[in-house]
Amino acid sequence: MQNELYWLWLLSIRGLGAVKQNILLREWGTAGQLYHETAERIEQFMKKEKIFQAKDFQEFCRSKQDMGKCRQELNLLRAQGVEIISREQADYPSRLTEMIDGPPVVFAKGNWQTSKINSGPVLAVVGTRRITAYGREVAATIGKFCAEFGITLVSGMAAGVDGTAQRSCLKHGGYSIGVLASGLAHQFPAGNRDLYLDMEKQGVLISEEWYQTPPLANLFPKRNRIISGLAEAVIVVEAADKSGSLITADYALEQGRDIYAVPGRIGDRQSVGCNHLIGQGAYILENIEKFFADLSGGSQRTKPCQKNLAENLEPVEKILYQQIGTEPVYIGRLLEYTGLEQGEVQLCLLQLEWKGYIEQISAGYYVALPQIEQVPFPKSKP
Amino acid sequence: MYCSITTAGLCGIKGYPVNAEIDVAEGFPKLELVGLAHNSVKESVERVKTALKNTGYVFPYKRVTINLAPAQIRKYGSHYDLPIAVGILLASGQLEARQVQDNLLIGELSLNGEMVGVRGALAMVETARSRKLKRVILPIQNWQEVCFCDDIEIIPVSHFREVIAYLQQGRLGSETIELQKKIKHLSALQEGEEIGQILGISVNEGAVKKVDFADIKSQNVAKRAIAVAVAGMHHILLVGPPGTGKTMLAKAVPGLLPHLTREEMIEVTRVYSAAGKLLGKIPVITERMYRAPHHTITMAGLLGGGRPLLPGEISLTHKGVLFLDEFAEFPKVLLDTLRQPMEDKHIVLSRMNERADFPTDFLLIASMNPCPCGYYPDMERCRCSEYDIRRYHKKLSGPILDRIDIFVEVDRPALPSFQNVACEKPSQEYAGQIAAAQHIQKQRLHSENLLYNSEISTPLIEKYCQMDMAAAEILNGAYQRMKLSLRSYHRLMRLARTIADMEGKEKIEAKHMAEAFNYRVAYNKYFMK
Repeated sequence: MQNELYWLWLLSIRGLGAVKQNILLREWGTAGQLYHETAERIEQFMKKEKIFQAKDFQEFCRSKQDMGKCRQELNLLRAQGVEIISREQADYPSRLTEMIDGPPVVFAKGNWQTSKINSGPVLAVVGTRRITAYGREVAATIGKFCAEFGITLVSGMAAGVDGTAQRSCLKHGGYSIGVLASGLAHQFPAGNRDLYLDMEKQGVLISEEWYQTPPLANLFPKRNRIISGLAEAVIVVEAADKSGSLITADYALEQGRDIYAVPGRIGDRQSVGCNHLIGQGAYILENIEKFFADLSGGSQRTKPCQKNLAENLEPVEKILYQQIGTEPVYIGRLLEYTGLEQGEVQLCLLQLEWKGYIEQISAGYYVALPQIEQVPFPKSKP
Repeated sequence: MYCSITTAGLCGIKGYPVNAEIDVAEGFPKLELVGLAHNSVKESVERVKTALKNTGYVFPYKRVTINLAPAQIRKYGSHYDLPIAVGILLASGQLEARQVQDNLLIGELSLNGEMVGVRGALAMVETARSRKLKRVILPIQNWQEVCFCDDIEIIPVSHFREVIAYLQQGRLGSETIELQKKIKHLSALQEGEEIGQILGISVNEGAVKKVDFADIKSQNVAKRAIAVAVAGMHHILLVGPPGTGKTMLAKAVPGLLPHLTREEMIEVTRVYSAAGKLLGKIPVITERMYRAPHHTITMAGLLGGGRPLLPGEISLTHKGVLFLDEFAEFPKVLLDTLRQPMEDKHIVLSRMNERADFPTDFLLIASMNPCPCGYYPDMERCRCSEYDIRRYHKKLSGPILDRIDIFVEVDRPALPSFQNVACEKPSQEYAGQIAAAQHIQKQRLHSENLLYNSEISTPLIEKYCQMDMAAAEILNGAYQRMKLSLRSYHRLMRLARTIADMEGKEKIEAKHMAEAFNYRVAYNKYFMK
């Protein structure tokens, strides 16, 4: 039998999660060796390790009779062009072996071979699905910088922060890993279907679940441990008070990863989680450029900054720009405030939007875009 | 004895001549009514029998045959009472009449012989005119709606006895003579408003109770957008949280529109007459109509239909305002059926053996919430996920959105401006601006036989929508950035043309183009996601 089949068999044993699988693997090394071990030794071992229960051994023996299912799965995976990356392979992510609950096998669809998961810097980005314009801008900038600094971006393919960062990364020619909660057969949420297609072409999608597993709610927190596990640092862009991103942050803490939170204004619902993390001792993401330079070990951006803060604004544009903050402002307010004529205000707003200072997030509502790339870094006092 | 009376039938909003042939012969007493009479016509016989008895005549105790020719078209309505009654009197020898052949007779009879108003009188009178008949005898209740028809003598009567008196001796009642004088006077007038005054229809009665822009606090952006929409007859969608005054804004629109011209009054009255909606308080349409059907409306109710074919809401708002509140709640299929009538300005309804062509030149004002809960983009209050919002927007199909030129968001007014009552501009001010803009359009498009910028066809756009360099730059920028379709590109030009016309500018300038772009941008940003 092939090695891959043994690994699938290991996954198929009922009642055996990643933790128990890892304990067995520590003793026997590979799934193949485990399969060929005598039942007595397994029984002895399981009795010795407190974590195993009596029924685990029964399931272990029974599962060997049920290899048809694994064969079927293997054929399906082969037909779908899915790679099976197991512990015994060199390109298995080394950071996952450090975890007590790291998956022994991950399934990958896309370009796994070109990933620098074990050689280059890896950054995870997580955050809310209910993204604000501020979060969108930050996530997109992070994605772009990942591409420009050659950093692998890991995220969860969700709506909001995940998708925004990954889209931006691919758009700028970067490489990204999407970690799915479901099996690789599903594209969830459906609104990101375009992103799934792009990821298969330019990045890679991975999952620890069997191919056809549907996106069940309980799989998402479990998936989050892989996101933080793969990366050396995790950025939380926006998170509400109760957020899955905070679960990821907890995992990251257990796994000893660096946690960076994007600060928000107090009172902004989508920033409560981030600000809380900062209070708990997470790093603040202060200056994106410096952060990336540090993470990539002092390497340079492939493209220099092209935006120019000193871009001259017309006096009217300046007046309008000052009135627009991170909260949506209605155009009617701007008219009342400036007392200018509609056509003129509309023209100025359009110019500001096209210059990249503001965004019309809904008809007539404007927000200022953070000028993230141009924030000067404060000089530290001696 | 045989006789034939000329009357008319109604198909859609068009009349066609019908001959009521009556034969009274010796034989076993029996009555036959042939000529595909619908139940509403069959009942006519019972009314005629009683009305004749009550006016001192006898229904012949003989073999009576009535035929409504042409016999292959189904006849509906109660207006065959009068021709049948007169025909029976003639055929049974109870009446000696001169010049019956030159008259068109329509009218319903009550049991005591009084005349009752009928549906579709205007269309039938027009039939008589096109048939070169000399006069029309009709119920007095219908006199106002046919007052536009000159070059034919109208004889409004209130009782069957008056009809007999006229046919026998050529004698008219004093009331009839009075009304005929009024009709003559009216036919000389051109302005719809004047006609309404003479007919004694007050402005408010014709349409809904009007809202003035001065009554609506703040919302200057939405008001401006509506003014632009009305000026160029661009369809508009108002988006905003619940309770911000979208409905009030829509109700103010009829007050912004110019008065109906004489021709338009006739067109709209014809539709209402055929729909049987003129018999109540409003005998003739002199004002732009405003209708706001609920979103549970059926397809037949919206487009027209039924048996006989009656006009639907889109025709009842011909030359007026169709307000569709909660636009996204209308069934998608229903909204998609609006596509053709919006483009063609008329709708042809075909049923098995009926076919009707109704005019549908309406201004669409739609309103909806920005998301299912209604508060997006106020993230403090909105509880919808991005997916919810997208799904909500997906309820509107692309083609229908593509026919809407202006998307404008209505905001909850902030407190300070709300309390500042004095500064609201009244509708009249906007109306003046609109009238001026419409005048410019009329002058410019006169040679093309068009009225509004929204009607300019694509080949003519370059000719009529000229712009300066800065405006062209914005337009091209928009085309590239937003990946506009060529159709949207042209729509932007038409819209900018209207905005420039509101300032009386010869060429479209940058600010006009920017405003037009902002009205359209939401479409590409939100509905095309």
